Amino acid sequence: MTDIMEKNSIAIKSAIKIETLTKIYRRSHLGRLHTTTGVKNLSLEVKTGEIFGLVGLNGSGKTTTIKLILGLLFPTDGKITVFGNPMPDRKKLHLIGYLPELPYFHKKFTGKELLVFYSKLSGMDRGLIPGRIQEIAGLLEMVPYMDKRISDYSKGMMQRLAIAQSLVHDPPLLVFDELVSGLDPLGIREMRTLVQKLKERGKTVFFSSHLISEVERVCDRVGILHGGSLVRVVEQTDWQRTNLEDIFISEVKK
Amino acid sequence: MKRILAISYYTFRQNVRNRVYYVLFIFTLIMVFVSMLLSVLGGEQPMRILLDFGLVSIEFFALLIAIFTSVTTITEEVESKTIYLILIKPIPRWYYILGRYTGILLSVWTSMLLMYAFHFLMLTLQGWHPGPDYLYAVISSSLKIAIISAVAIFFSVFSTSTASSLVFSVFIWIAGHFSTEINFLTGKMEFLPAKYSVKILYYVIPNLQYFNWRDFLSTGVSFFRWMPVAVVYAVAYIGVFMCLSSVLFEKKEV
Amino acid sequence: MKIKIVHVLLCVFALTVATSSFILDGLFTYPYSKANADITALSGPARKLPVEKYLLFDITGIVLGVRRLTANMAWIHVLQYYGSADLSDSEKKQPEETRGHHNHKHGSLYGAGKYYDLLKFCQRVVRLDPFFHYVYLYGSASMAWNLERPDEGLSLLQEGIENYPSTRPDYWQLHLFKLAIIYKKLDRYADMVSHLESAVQQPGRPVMVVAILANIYKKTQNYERALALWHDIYNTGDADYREYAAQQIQFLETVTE
Repeated sequence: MTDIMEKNSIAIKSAIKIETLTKIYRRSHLGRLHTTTGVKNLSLEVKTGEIFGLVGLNGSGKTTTIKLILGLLFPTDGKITVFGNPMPDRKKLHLIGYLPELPYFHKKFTGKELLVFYSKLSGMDRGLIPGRIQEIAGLLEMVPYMDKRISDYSKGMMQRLAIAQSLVHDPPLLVFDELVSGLDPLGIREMRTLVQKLKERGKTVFFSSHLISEVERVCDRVGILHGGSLVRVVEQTDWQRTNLEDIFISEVKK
Repeated sequence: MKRILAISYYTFRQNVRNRVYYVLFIFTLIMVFVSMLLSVLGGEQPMRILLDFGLVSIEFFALLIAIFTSVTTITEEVESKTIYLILIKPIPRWYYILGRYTGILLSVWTSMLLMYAFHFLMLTLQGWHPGPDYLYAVISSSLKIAIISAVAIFFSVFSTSTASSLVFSVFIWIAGHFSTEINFLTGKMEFLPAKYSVKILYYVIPNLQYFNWRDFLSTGVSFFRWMPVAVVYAVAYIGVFMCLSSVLFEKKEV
Repeated sequence: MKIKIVHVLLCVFALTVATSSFILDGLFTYPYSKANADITALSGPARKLPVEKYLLFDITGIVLGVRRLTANMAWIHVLQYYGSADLSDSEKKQPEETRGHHNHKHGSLYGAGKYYDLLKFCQRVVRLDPFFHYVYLYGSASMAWNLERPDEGLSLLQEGIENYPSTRPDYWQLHLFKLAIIYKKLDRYADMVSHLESAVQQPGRPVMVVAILANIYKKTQNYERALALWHDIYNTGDADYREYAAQQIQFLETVTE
């Protein structure tokens, strides 16, 4: 009895738990099978309420890991749980807010129309949608843009809209793929404060980046991915003594 | 259900603003051109020619919009990554298929309706007296388009390349009209394995001649003789392809 | 593998497709099957297509399910071949005597020549669409009176009599035309004229037939009836005939006065 309770409490303590995850892409071309390894034997745990950064070079498996968590890809081996729920399970996807890398929207819609659409898909109560959108728009400082078409949006505004879309259904876990790529310094700074705000509200943030300096500034813990494997998890205290870049380089060059 | 409708409406908005208007414009030009040509040629039986040209080109343009949007809908969304933002919502994947399909159908039918209205107006202005045959032609063409869209959606899930799905869909369209002849052929065949495989092909490919009423206008056959059963056939056929697409899409990695 | 609702649905839909297919096999008959035996028969002594040159075009049209449209194109082709305005213009420039065999007085608007292919081209149209009633009338009248080849006209009409549904209210017109042509062959002008008179009273008659009859009246010096018919033609508003009708009316009015 106590055993089960303990298991549950452990499970709930971890927002994401990944165990021996392997993803091998198979593609057949002209009858020949090509395989590429996305991630191999990856185990990782993200605690509830923390900001976890995943760093790695291009092609190290960051996006693959994220897509596996979201059920956009299916693992070859291993398992993933989100707040104790085995994934992929579409019914539990309301627990996650996701920001894709370089988000894109159909240009013909306005920001508000899209947010209403995504809110409906998240299964939100119709009556709550307008108020929630208003709130998110305020948080992200995009109120004046809400009724403009996406075709008039700058890259920064697109990114904000994508974040708004991930927050609108108020999920406890946020998964951001390349949160700051392509943003100007001001935008980067705003994202940083946003992530802090989310942490204050008790959200768990899991994000990937290849900008070490950014990760260093906001994360509680950082995982270093290289060649599809998690080579090291670094605590904030570790890089306060030296610096994250050196740790990263030394791990990657091994 | 509401969420399927949300996807459907989203698709409808997306298509109507993008492609449909151009096609309508070209259709109008062609109709005006043909009627001008006829007045120059001074042909006998201009009404018949105008009627047939209109009905065929409406169906042809509807086919173009239907196939192109169905075939590109998933690949385009994957490339622009907008599909992720829908698939990471807590909805079953078949919602996406059904929502897309109904949205595409809605936009194609709307454009057909506009074209038919223009065509009908042109004919009545020239002193033509409409009969129920015109309505029957509209109904049967719409069903035909509904079937081919379902088939095209299936191919777009099934195949990774837009070009091949396009070719397959067009092949089904042609073979679907040829099915009477296929059936005729099987009667003449003596080699049994070939006979049965062709017979199977005859039943697998949708028989679009059931919905080719615009080609039977003056033949004196009765629309109601087979149409009620043909409607059941069409709905079931679309159902089969929706189910197949859903099963495939369930396992698709994006 | 788990059995899911979607699999059950798939089976239900597939069974419905199969059942309705079988039922439809019995209910639906391709309306052109009879005509197809002439065109696409793959075995047995197939009747050859009248115009082999367009075989591929015609078959493509049939296969794509646009048979009526293909028939229309074949019909436009007939009209271009037989009645283009350019040809009739060049005809007008020729001196009256050189027209010779081509009896201008009977005709309306068509080019100079014998149009040996007219029967074949008309047959092409009605084999694509045997329900194209107008072609039987127009084609046979042209061949019988304008080109003085009544046998060709009769053979086109015969196809109509065989293939056009005899239950249609306009079916008897084919017989009417047939009789008129036969009387013409027998040189029984009075009978021929009376049949043509009933032919021109029909709503779907080609204007050309009215013109033919008017010219016959003119030739037999029944100017008043001819004038009435030309007025009739003029009033149909058919652009092709309007100018010619006006000329005739002018001429006939001076004669009748």
